Amino acid sequence: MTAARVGIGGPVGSGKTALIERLLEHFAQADIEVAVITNDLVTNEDAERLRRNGQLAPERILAVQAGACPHTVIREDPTPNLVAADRLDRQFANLDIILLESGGDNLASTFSLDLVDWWMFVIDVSGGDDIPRKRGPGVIKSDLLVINKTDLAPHVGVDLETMFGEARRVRNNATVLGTNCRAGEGITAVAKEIRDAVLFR
Amino acid sequence: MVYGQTLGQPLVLSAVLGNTREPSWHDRAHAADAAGELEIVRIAPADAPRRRMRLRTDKNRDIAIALPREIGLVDGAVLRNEDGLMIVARIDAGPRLRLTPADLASALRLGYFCGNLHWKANFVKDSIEIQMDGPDRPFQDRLADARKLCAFTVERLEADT
Ligand SMILES: Nc1nc2c(ncn2[C@@H]2O[C@H](COP(=O)(O)OP(=O)(O)OP(=O)(O)O)[C@@H](O)[C@H]2O)c(=O)[nH]1
Ligand SMILES: [Mg+2]
Repeated sequence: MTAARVGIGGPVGSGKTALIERLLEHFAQADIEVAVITNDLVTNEDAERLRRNGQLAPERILAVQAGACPHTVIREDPTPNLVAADRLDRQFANLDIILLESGGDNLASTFSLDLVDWWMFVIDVSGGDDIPRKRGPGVIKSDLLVINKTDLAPHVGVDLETMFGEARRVRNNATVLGTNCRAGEGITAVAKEIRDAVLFR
Repeated sequence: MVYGQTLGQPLVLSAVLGNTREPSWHDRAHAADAAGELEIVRIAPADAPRRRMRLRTDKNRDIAIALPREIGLVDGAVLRNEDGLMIVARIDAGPRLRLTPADLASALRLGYFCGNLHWKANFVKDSIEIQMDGPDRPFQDRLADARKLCAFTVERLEADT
């Protein structure tokens, strides 16, 4: 079985890389073998950050530069990411999962299922509690919606109950989870979703 | 004991053995059905490209599909055939909108328009068939915009035509 491919999309700065850092802790404890592909516009920032962290061997972290709108390489023509994922599969025979971080984009960005088996969309509370109501395709179509930075709710005047309620409503009750990546809260629940959906363990 | 259903573990299906459109598999599926040994897993067309999926069969069996990257899932795929259990995937074509432009200029504009919306499209003779991966309304709203730019007819095609 080749490694499962999981996409992580969402607006600029919502905490996609922070969530990956937390998930890497969880997967390491569970003996799940991981590699990561990051997408940035014209730099390798996120890949370099993950390499500096030292949670994974540096060769398990690949960077793909989108060059243009980040969604182009996760949806319209995901070839650069497919090539990177195939390379990781060939290089590391025992990989369980490849996490693929999209460059920060807008609410319309979605992953092609030719690229990933399953994907989540990460928004954060500081964007405002009306974000789910705007029915962005990323919010609606993702397999999992993560609302990050729950710790900031009191500082940005966001009512978490309203925000989660509306998110579940626009998603027809598909799963919505809250996280605080700074403190490591809610990570196990996100990991469990991934494990149930594509790792089956 | 029911196969593969110990302690919440799904039955993992990791190969496509054949397709019920092939006569030999068609006959085997028929026989399995008569013996009560056939289970169907229904997959929405929008989900079919996934290589890994957690689903339930029509007999509520928890299954996990994990196919090699180079194998695509198509309607009629046989995912298991052993120990008195055959599992077949059913993927209907899903509802589509067939758009037929009135003239060349309209065709160019309509094609560009659908592309900008990232709609999944198939080109069939002189028409574009749009795969609807959700409710009709958003598609109708956008097509109302397109009518201001070009001339075309719309026909709604039901799931399995
Ligand atoms: N307070 C708080 N800050 C957070 C949390 N998660 C992430 N941050 C901060 O938010 C900022 C952006 O986080 P990143 O993980 O870089 O976000 P990203 O989505 O990967 O950003 P791009 O890849 O540039 O789109 C950083 O300064 C993080 O420290 C959280 O749960 N709470
Ligand atoms: Mg990032």
